[in-house]
Amino acid sequence: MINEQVFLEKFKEQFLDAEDASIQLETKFRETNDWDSLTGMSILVMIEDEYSVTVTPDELKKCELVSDIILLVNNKVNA
Amino acid sequence: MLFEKYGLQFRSVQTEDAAFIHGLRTNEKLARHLSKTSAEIADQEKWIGEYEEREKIGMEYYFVCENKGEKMGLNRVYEIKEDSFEIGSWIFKEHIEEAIPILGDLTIRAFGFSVLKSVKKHCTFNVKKQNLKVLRYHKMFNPEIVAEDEENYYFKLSEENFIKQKDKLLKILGHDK
Repeated sequence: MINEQVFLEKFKEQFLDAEDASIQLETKFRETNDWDSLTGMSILVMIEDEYSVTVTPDELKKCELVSDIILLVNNKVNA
Repeated sequence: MLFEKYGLQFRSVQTEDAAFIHGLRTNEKLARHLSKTSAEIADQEKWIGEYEEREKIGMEYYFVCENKGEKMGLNRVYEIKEDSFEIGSWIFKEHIEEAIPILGDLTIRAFGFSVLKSVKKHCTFNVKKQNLKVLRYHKMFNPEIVAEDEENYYFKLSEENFIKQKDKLLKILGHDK
């Protein structure tokens, strides 16, 4: 199991915008003001570097909440 | 110039693209870190006309990226020398598939390296210091900062470092080299 709070902190770091410091596990991350393709790419790279698993853009597209990504990463780490 | 890569089509800009280019470059959110663009589409058309002359002699390439016939964004390769080129004018529409702007950048940089004649190739670019996301993206490639002023960092990226990171990003994006 990955640590949810650690993941959340790493996730928030990808936004580079103080406005989005309010992101929580149940946040619909695509609806935040600062979401764009570069943020998405940074998140995919962060997951690859920190958890040694690959999440594809198509898989990310199916995630609505931060917690959905955590579940996806967890499943891949434990596969 | 026309080619396809990763399911996207890349072609040289034409006068008919002036309104599309103008729309992107005057979009307050998208273009906040780009150099100012004239408010007149006619000025953009004139610029494209001059660009077409530079492209004819291999001085510069300005691409429209399309996905299934829909214009997505722009990338430019210019100041092409024996061993280096500059990249810039990278701007894509909002609310498109997130991988597309990244694939556009990777494709056009690879194109830039392919037109150089030297074996020691590099590309250069500058990024506004306030443009934090683009800075972070470029830093993934481990470029060298060669200069800075109050507003910008000026970078130089070797072909070797580009290829290393390109391959990593393409793997994440689910594409072969």
